[in-house]
Amino acid sequence: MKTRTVRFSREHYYSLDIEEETGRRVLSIPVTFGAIDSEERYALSDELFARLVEDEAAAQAFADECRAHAHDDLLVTELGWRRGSPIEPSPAGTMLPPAPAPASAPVEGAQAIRGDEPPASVWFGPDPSGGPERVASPHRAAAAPLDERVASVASAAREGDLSGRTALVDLLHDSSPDGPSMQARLQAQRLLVSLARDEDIAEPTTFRYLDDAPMALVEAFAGSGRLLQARSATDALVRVGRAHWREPDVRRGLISSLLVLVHRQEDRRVEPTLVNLAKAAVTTLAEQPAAYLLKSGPWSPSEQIGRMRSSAERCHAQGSLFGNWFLAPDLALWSGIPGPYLKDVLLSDDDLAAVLAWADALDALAWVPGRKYFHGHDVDGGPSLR
Amino acid sequence: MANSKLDGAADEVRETLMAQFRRIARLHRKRARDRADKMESDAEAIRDLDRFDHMPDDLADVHALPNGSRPHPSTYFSREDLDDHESRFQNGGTRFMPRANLEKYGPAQADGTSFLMSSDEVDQMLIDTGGDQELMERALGLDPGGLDGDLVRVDVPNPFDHGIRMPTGNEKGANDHWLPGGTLPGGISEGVIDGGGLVRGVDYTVDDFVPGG
Repeated sequence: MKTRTVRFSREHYYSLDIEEETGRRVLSIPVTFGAIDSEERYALSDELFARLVEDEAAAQAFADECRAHAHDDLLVTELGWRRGSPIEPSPAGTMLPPAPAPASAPVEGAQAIRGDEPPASVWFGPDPSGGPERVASPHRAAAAPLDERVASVASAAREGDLSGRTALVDLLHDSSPDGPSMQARLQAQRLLVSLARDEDIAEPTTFRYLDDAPMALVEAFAGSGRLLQARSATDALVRVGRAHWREPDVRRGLISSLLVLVHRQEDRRVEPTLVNLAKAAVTTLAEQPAAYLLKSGPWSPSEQIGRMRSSAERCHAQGSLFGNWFLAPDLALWSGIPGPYLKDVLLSDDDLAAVLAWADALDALAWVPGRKYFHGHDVDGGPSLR
Repeated sequence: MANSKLDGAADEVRETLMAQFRRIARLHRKRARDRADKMESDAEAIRDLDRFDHMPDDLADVHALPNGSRPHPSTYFSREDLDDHESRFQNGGTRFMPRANLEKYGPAQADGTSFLMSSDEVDQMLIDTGGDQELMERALGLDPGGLDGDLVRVDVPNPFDHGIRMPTGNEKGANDHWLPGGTLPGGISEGVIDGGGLVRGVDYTVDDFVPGG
């Protein structure tokens, strides 16, 4: 909620504000979760607010009492299972850190990336028009050649021939000493989850290699829910979770993947466990007939497209840095339409026009909610978007 | 184990915290194993992994001590572990805070320290979650709505210039939920810098942070 600050104390870490929408008078104190800060707001009567504005010592004492949780009855900030710790003023007589320098116009960061289209390679986006192929986190520019067998399947799939799924499964199950490298297996797995039909994922043998796969492969699979999309993926992810829930990187990926697919019924403040996520999957699947899901509804990229559009417009208007680098590879992969790939850049008018033109082109495609697409081709053989 | 604040805690809280300490120990064991693998399975390095067996109890002891009296992490981590942790920040450190707080109080705590997350891991978290607010809150160990409001992303591109290190737990920003071992509850690496003299536009950049944007 927007507020208007009447007075604040940098020395004593409190602020007396008026909420613009409601007119409510509040005293706020900063609290911290470590690398993430927040604030707690305490509602004040008009009389008390006026007195604290006038009397700095009284305001300081009141803020200290709030930090000691003595005025929790006035708290308007909703608390959850974790409560931020109040940021304490320095003891009297010690030096404060220097005041922050005045804001200057943002400059593009050292890692700003401006590309005509998302990188290809393991992202399997549109064929690259030039430049190095990149792995995993494309903005980090680690070059890695695409395995020839994977490249062959990807090339055919871009043209609508999705029959290479079997070759990918064979490659992934080949754990012989002369078999494919870990990099090739990671690439094959990423392409497979992007191409796999619901029935492929439901087939128990497809992902059986995960039973004794190196942890890097399991971790990558655990985090691939947004590309898997299929209702049967919930079973595959829960199977992986039963074997590897104690591995923090696997667990983190699985929670994200399952939350992307299904809707949890219980309070979001309850810690997600494999059991309650699996129960949520059962409930979701019972209520939802679509084969491909996002947040328990029929999958569609419209949310991502809308988010990219509104973010670009806002950043352009405010002159702040923009990035679509975490959305662009997926949108290009699903649609087959290349678009601008941007990280930490100030949008010029031309940049904005390019982003919006791409969003328009994506919106114009005849996406059918609940179907899954690879380069505009329905993975189940339905009508192509092209 | 030394007398611990956990002794008087509810069973559920105690078990939750011990689960976190076991998680952190597994994380550092995994990193040490990765380092050993890069040295082509050096036998000495592999044997050294046994030291992580006692780590959950060590971390519980450190956690039990009050802010201001906790030992330096070098007393319960090796130099290689600490170097590995610092290397997570080679591409910068990041923190999130309300815009108003930044403008009023600056990016550092009253003691001049400032907690940061690994920028690489924050970026990877954005990729993994696709910018979804609920998933990001989960990954950052926040309550639902923890990323509501007018937030900014503060990036420190060169945290080594400002003494990036594993937190001791004696910093002002080390709250009741602070965990020894240099990670957030969601697993993202956190470090601390001397942030009192940071200059905006030189030492750090500020960017709007809108979940989903």
